[in-house]
Amino acid sequence: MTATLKRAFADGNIIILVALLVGASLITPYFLTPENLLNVVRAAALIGIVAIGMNVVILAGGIDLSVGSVVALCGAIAASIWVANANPFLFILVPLLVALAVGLANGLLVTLVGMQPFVATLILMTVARGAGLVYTSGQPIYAPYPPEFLFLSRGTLFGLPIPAVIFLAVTVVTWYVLKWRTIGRAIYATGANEKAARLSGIDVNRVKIATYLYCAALAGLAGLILTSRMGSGEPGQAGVFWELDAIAAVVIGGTSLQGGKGSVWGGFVGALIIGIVSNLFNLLGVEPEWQQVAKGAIILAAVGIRWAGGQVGIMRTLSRPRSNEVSR
Amino acid sequence: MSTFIEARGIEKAFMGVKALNGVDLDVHVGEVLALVGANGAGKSTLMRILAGAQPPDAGTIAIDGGPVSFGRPQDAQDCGISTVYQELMIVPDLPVVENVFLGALKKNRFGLLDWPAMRVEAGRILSTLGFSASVDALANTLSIAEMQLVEIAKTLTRQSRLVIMDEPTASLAKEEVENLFKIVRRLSAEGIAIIFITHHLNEIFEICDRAVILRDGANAGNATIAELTENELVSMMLGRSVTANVDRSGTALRQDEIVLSARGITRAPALHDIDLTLRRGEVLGIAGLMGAGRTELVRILFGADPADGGTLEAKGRVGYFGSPRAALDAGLGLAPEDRKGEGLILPLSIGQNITLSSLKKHVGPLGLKLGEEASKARDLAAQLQVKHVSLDQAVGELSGGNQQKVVLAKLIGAGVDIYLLDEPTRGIDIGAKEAIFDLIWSLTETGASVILISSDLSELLRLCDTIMCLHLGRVTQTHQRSDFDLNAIMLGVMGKEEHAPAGKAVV
Repeated sequence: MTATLKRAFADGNIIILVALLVGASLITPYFLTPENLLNVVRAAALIGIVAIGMNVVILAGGIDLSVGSVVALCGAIAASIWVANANPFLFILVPLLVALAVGLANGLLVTLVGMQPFVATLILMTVARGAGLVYTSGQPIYAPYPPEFLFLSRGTLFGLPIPAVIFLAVTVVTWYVLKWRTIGRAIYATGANEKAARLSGIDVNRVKIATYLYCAALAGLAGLILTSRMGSGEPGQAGVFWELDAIAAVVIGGTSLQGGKGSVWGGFVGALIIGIVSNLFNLLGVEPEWQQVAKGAIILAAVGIRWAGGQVGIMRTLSRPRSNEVSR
Repeated sequence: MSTFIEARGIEKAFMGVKALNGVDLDVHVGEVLALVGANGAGKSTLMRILAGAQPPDAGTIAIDGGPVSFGRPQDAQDCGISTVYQELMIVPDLPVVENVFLGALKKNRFGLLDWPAMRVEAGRILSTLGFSASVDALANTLSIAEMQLVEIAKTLTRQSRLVIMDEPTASLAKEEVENLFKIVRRLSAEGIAIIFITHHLNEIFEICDRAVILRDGANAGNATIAELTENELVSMMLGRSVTANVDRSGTALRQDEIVLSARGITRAPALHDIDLTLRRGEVLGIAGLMGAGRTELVRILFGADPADGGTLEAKGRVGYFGSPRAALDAGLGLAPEDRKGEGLILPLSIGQNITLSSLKKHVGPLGLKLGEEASKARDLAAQLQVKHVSLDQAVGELSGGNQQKVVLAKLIGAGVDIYLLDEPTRGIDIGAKEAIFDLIWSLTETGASVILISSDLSELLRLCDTIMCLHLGRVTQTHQRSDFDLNAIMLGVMGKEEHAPAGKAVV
């Protein structure tokens, strides 16, 4: 873990995060209250879950533009199943299966058909969004949800909101898989150099398909939570631009869009940073339009800080490994 | 026959290394001159100097008896010298006619570009070359052969008197080569001289009038083709008649157990009907030029590319491998020619690269055993004497030789016992080369087998038990260590088929 912390330092994540926390609490004292911090985490959790999946796809050298549409499609399907049939099992299972189908389609277009990930997932982005609208005739589905389903968004565990618990759990599981499973190593290798990875005995197609499946499943999960929170399935409105927010989080977190470089903390910290800043703006009463502009500025700042860190070399020195351990 | 160009005492050094050391070259009007030499003999440097692409350090060039000096390619072109490089200088997004007149566009009397005239002239010249596409076609829709015709048309619009062709048949099909020969003969009959740079015996002897042979940056011979034999040519290229040196004394260990045998490997257009047999403890060398199909062959053996036909039997198992993973699991490993692009994952650490092909061995109930993996990587790095600060260093920070050792460590770690090594010593320093030779010997002593590709014939002679010559995707000759003969192997590389002596060569 110390190596991981050091790497987080090297990425500039910790520095940016601490600077933000200090700055925010100086600007408005209310920021550091427990209620508000819970708000931050709750708000960051949804984009965070999607960003973790995006992070994995990007590490393997791909990109997934379809996540926002999957969020909406899965939410709508969950809502409709609840309206039609009260089986709580089905309304978790079916949306996730649909999400996996979208992920599989992404993966097959990229691997077997050989499309650019950007194009392949752009196709699924429009198809999934359209499918959601067709399925619901374009209307939001309101349903009197049972408490079990509302628990997904409103419940707490040890005082933490359930979405935040899921976000943390997803992050830890992803961290474990990336560091401790062979597929994790294969994801890095595939993203950094597909040809060499293949000649080293890695089934790169399988690896890529797995990342699209994982990313889509997490987007589906986020869709369920969102539907639970809003109390309705919104095929047209839910998840719009989430793919871009997720990519922004990954970039802010320091994962290279070229693949093979970065860690799960990229998506994790990036989502938190976006969450903190949005929260701060809300507290200060900044209009949503200006928040958009500010988000661009944050991306610029994060990239700039990381670039400056690389130039000065302080962060590299901080992160230089001492032992011969093999770690990621 | 009058002399068109006369070069005397041409010298050229790069970073203190002499590429040309006082070379003389005469080209007569209308002759087809073969410029021949092994890799590094200085052919390309001499060609670039004649084309005005590089200035010589010393020496003189005279055209029609008058001294000239080329400051840039345009100067050489103005003197009637054109060059058709192997990398064709075609602008893919422009139409044929514009490519033909590129750099010498015609204007009419109003000073405007005269497209009608250019289209007519381009069409006329191209049709005499046997070019069938439209002059308005975009260059990127043409075949390589057609692009080459466009290049030749370019030289003809400029009243060239000498056309230098650098390995012009390298990517042509057989009929296209025939057409090119026809064109060369026609140009020659019209009084245009041709310098033909080639490695292929049949081309030298079929199309050329005279051969100038370079060796180590100096003249090594000059003869009319009619009075030259293949053996004389190769002797001039190599300068010596080397037989195997006896470095590899431990060959007694060689056994008769066949670990890999292939029959009729074919993959169009690179490989045709290749047979090969590899025995336990054997080092099988593959000699061949770029484009001979060497890399394609080992990639098929490794399951990296599919074959069109033929059979493979390896380690008692019949059939081609479906993937590199399947080959690795059966004990075959490939060290690719492009070390950085295909052999290593540069951003990953040294340790992670070493264990990349054998990660499965370090999986426990809770996932990867990182400590065990690291210590295995450390052992392998030590065994191969990889010079490094830390195994956590990115492998991209290592020198070429140490990177190659990491690739080999990866194969050893995967438990490979048939090594396919594609140019393992290219671009690495002499110390690392020797270390890799030592490694090859020690591997074979423990019963592993090696297929070794190298452009360096002396390296093959030193290391191999058997050498197979590959030329344009076919096996031309096979030699056992007891009868290694550098000249014969060079002839095989250049396309001379073995005259089957007592029965077919034992493969």
